Formats: sequence, structure tokens, C-alpha cells
Amino acid sequence: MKVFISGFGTVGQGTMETLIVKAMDIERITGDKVIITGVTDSKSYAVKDDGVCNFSVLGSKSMSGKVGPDMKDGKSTVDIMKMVDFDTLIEASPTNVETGGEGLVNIKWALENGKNVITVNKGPLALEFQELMSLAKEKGCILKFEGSVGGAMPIINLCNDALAGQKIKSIQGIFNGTCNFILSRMDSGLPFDQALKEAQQLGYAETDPTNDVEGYDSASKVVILANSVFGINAKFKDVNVTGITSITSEAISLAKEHGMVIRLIGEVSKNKLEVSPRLIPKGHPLSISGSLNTALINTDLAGPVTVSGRGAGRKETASAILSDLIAIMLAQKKE
Amino acid sequence: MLVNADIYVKDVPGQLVAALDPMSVLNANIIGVVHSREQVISGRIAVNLTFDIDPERIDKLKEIWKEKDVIVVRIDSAIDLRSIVFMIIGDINAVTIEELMIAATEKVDIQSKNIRIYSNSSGRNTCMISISVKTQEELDALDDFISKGCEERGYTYIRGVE
Ligand SMILES: NC(=O)c1ccc[n+]([C@@H]2O[C@H](COP(=O)([O-])OP(=O)(O)OC[C@H]3O[C@@H](n4cnc5c(N)ncnc54)[C@H](OP(=O)(O)O)[C@@H]3O)[C@@H](O)[C@H]2O)c1
Repeated sequence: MKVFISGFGTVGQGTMETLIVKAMDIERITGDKVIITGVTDSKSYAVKDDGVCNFSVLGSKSMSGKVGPDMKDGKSTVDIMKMVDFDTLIEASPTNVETGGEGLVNIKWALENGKNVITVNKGPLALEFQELMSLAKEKGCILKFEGSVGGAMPIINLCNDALAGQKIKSIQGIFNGTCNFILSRMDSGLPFDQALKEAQQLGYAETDPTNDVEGYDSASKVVILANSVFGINAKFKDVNVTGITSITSEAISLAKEHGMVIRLIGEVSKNKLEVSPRLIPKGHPLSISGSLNTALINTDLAGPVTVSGRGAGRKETASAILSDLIAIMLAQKKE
Repeated sequence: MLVNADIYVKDVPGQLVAALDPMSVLNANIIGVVHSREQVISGRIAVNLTFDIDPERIDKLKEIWKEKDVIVVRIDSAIDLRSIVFMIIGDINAVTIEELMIAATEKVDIQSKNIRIYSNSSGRNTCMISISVKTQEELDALDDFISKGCEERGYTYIRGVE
């Protein structure tokens, strides 16, 4: 299986490292090897039909910030993809929920040209989920996106495979670890601004935290779940979003007095797409503290099923990409 | 109206039937009768009754029971009230919240409410409200009403999870 990685930051590099470490397991499970034939970041690229040298690419990125000596110089990722042979695109460039960014262009080009796609980039899915799925179907390719919701928390495959046949009535979840970290720190008495600063210092929140704290990141995940689990043709603009910036210290202490905490909850059901701060009784599965993601899946037969895991991180997100990649390799082996 | 009552009847044959007799006269519908033989106090046994009755006939029932020497310990509505606890954050004060509550009362039959407002020097005040209503439909309607009301006024609405 030849793979092209678009975006070589935390997730892109984590994916390459994981593919090196797990090479023998992948071969044992699938009977096939993974060869990375192309890598791009914002400025540079590396391509080779029989596989780039993974160690040189990783070394070069850490030493010089570039994946190799070749510069993009105005070339797009599509231009680079055209230069090399590959079967599956791993799309790990920055999320843009307004336009879909270059990631959307890359995914469309890959599918139109018969390549499978694994994306952790949420923008393209939040904007054009159904269109991309139809395109993949039409071209006989596989589009997978487990890491786009909840990082290492296996929610999409859990709903669509392990819980197959059951009616999923609703999913309520903590889909943004940064907000959960901030709200948990506010539980210990820190005001919002200070809790945010701490999250930034610890690397949980970005310099511009808008996407997280205004609830947009959680909303993209709600859209992906609505489409992939509930079959609703929902777009980002269909989600009712309230972030956590207006939560006061008084609200946190009042909740505490009543044995509750405030958490930012994404909710998906046939008639509700919402992200909003909610009052959660202590001890409830959604009352967790820290940066974990958690989802409560309400099913008709199994009742409530709770899944929890690390919503972000280098190895964690790479683990979701690895499981998607193995699924694609096994599916293609059967054909 | 669904009513639940704890009564004590004399532990002699025919007394329980005598206590239930007025039900048919008053057109009440008995739903459940639980009598505890082990709970005999001064020669009387405890009986728990659940029945559906026109609320205006409850006083008459009590009168008949008194005549028949049936002791009523407790009688009240058996309807489980549904409660919602939520917070509103924003440029709010006692007057704005009261206005919102009056408007809510026009939509749903509020059984009880408890409001606490906390001021903050930044002008973003926090209010915690708990409200009880009789049915899930009323609860959903109230939730919808408060949610829209807050959105129109630029307040943050924080409710619980079911
Ligand atoms: N981090 C996580 O744990 C996590 C979890 C789930 C999903 N995701 C999603 O995964 C994606 C990547 O996240 P990340 O944390 O790895 O971000 P990151 O560390 O900021 O890395 C982004 C990478 O994309 C590159 N890039 C920027 N514009 C590009 C373009 N036009 N074409 C190709 N590459 C481009 C950047 O290049 P330079 O290196 O030259 O700047 C960088 O290598 C995002 O969409 C994010 O939402 C991340």
C-alpha cells in the first residue's frame, strides 16, 4: 500500500513514526507493507515512487522545519500528488471550517483519481460530507475519518461496526479536550482567562483558541457524527453552537454547590445538533475532568454505552489513522 | 387527578371494604391498594391507596372517611413532578428574570420555582433556576421557550442533560 501524507505537523509526523514502529504488525495483520511515497508540509515536499526514506524525512523536519530539500515554490499539494504514485492519501493539514482549505481540494482530487483517503482534517467533512462520500462511492474508493472525531477515542467505528444493527438514539459527548481542561481548572477556582492561559502554556490550546473555546471544533465533530452515524445531511451551519467564553466563576461555584459541574457538550440526534455548556451531575459519565474526550451513546438494545479516550496527541491521533489504514488494506485484500 | 393516600382502618373484617366503598359513589377509580398487616398500630392496619378522582371531590371523600372512622395520615397528588435546573448568564437582574418567568408561565403551568441571582462586577450576572412542571411535554416546551428567550436576549443558557 503506497501512502501520501499531506501535512507534516504533530499528526503527520506521528503517523510516520507509528508506521515505522508498527510495520511488522501491519504486515502480519494485512499481509502487505506500507510504503510512504510522498510527504508535504506548507513549504516543502519529498516524493519517491519506491518510498521516501522515513528517517531522513523525520530528521530533516526536526532539524530544518522542511521535509526535504525540495521546495513547493507555489506548487499546490495536488501538483505534488501528481508527481508520484500512491494508493491512499492521509490528509493531516490544518482544519478550515469556513472553506475546507487545501485539504478539501486534496481530498476531492484524490478521490476523483481513484485514491483512498484517510482524513483527520475536519473542515472538508464538516462542509461536504455527503458529496465526498458519494464521490468515493462513485470512484470505488474508501474514505475514512476515525481520527477526525475524538482522536484516539474510537467512536465512529464503534457506532457503525460494533453497535451495528442497533438504533442509536443520541450521542452526547465531550469532543474538545481543551475546553474540558479549561472548565476542569475553573472547577478548582481559576477564572476563565487564567485557565485558558494555563491550557496554552501546557500546549492544549493554540495561540488563537477561538476554534476551541467558541465551540467550533466540537461543532465540526457533531456534523461528522450526524452524517456518518445518523445519516443526516448536515453542514457546519446547521449546528446550534454556544462556546464557553461566557462561563463565569459564579456559575461554576453555583453548579458545585448543587453537586454539578459545567461541561461543553456536543449533542447529536435526529432532531438536535447542538454544542453548548451543560450542567452535569458529579459522577455522571460526562462529568469527567481533564483533557479526555468522552461520548455517551444511547442505543435501543444496549442502553447507554460510554467510550472515552485521548482526543488529541501525536501517537493518539496516529492510532486512529493506523486503524483506518489497516481497515482499508484488509478491505482491498478481500477484493 | 391521580392521588396517593395513607390511611389507617380498624383491623376487623369489612373495614377495608367500607373504606373503599365511597370511591364508587364519588366516581373515583382505584388504581392500587397496598395494606400492610405487619404495620398494626392500636388495632388499625395501614393501607396505601392510589386512585384517580375529581379534585373537587377529595374533601367529600375525607368527610365520608371521617364518618366511617378511617384515619387519613397523608393524602396528596401522586403525579411525579418533572424538574429542570438551569442557569442563565448575561446582563440579567431580578427584573429581567422575572419578566422571562412571567412569559414562561403563560406557556406552561409552573408548579414551583426557585430563583437565585448572583451579581458580578463585570456586569455578567449568573442566575440559577429550578422549575417543576407536571409533564414531559411541558418540560420540553419550557426548555424550548427559555432557550429561544435567552438567544433573543443574548444570554447564555446552560441546562442539564437528560
Ligand atoms: N493534533 C491533534 O491531536 C489532532 C487530533 C485530531 C485531528 N487533528 C487535525 O489534524 C490536522 C493536523 O493537525 P496537527 O496538530 O498535526 O497540526 P500542526 O501540527 O499545526 O501541523 C499542520 C501541518 O500541516 C502543514 N500545512 C499547512 N498548510 C499546508 C498545506 N497547504 N499543504 C500541506 N501541508 C500544510 C504544516 O506545515 P508546516 O510544518 O510547514 O507549518 C504542518 O506540517 C488538523 O486538521 C487538525 O484539526 C489534529
